[in-house]
Amino acid sequence: MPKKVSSGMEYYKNEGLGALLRLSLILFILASVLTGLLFAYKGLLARQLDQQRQILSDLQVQFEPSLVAQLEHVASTITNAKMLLNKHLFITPVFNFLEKHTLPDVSFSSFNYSADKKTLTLNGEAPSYTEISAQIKTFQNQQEVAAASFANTALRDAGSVVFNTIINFK
Amino acid sequence: MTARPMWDEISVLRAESKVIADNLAQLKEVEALRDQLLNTYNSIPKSDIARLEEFLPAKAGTEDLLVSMENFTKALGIQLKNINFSAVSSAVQTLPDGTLAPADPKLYSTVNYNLTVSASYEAFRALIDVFEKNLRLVDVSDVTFTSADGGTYGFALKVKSYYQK
Repeated sequence: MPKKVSSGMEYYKNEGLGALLRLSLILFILASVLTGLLFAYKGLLARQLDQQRQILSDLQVQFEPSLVAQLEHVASTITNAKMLLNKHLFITPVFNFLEKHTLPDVSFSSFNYSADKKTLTLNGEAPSYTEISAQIKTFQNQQEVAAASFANTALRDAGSVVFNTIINFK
Repeated sequence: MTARPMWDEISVLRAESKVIADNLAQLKEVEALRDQLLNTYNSIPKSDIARLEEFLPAKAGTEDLLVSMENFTKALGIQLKNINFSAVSSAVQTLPDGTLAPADPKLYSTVNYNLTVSASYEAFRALIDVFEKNLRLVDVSDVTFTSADGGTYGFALKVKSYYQK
């Protein structure tokens, strides 16, 4: 009995199904491997993140906010102290100036000094108008004086002259 | 099916990790600065820190100023006729446009007060000297006096001291 030869169509049909099956299998394996890798990567990332969070938390504890605030306070106090020292008001030089440059025959009965305006206002008495003029010129000739002027001169019964003077310091 | 959501989760984790890494880098820089600041602070003698706190105390301390003024005047035989503290002025700062900004806690505040004392001229000069050399700053901004018989004068002073909260 002659053998029945299988047709080519059957042969290719069987081969086609096999390739598809293998391809699917390969894809499945690839997908599984990829998923596995992704899973492992995700786990790795999560562990790294935990470590980073821990370091961050430790650093925050080490920072001691109260200590930082204390350091900040001291730093700003030093800055302000320097600023205040630089503009510290000394009025002793005004008294020294007056004691040094008041003429022997002139006297002052009232004194008003404003450090903010650097202005000294005095009420004085001199033996004559000439002496007032000499006194004002003496004040004007000092290097620390920006301007000196007089006003309200008046002769008293006793013969002396009263006056007001304003001295502006530099 | 499971890869896509997992990838999304990974993306979120990566983003979060990057943020934390950036913060850590910044914190490391700040940590170095803090260490530098701490070393400087530790190099300052404790006695100097105490003097600094006395120089610019944390409170207005008008009670302490009152005691100081009495002690200064008593020691010089000066009569402290009266002392009045006006409202404490808070720290202000001038902005570039000339307006005054709200108080900054890092700036100092001023305690304004007026004194009237009765003293000889020499004693008053000594009092001014004490004020000018006092550790807690005493800035005399205005002085007024008139001559009187007997060598005793009445001096009126406007004074400022400072503190930092």
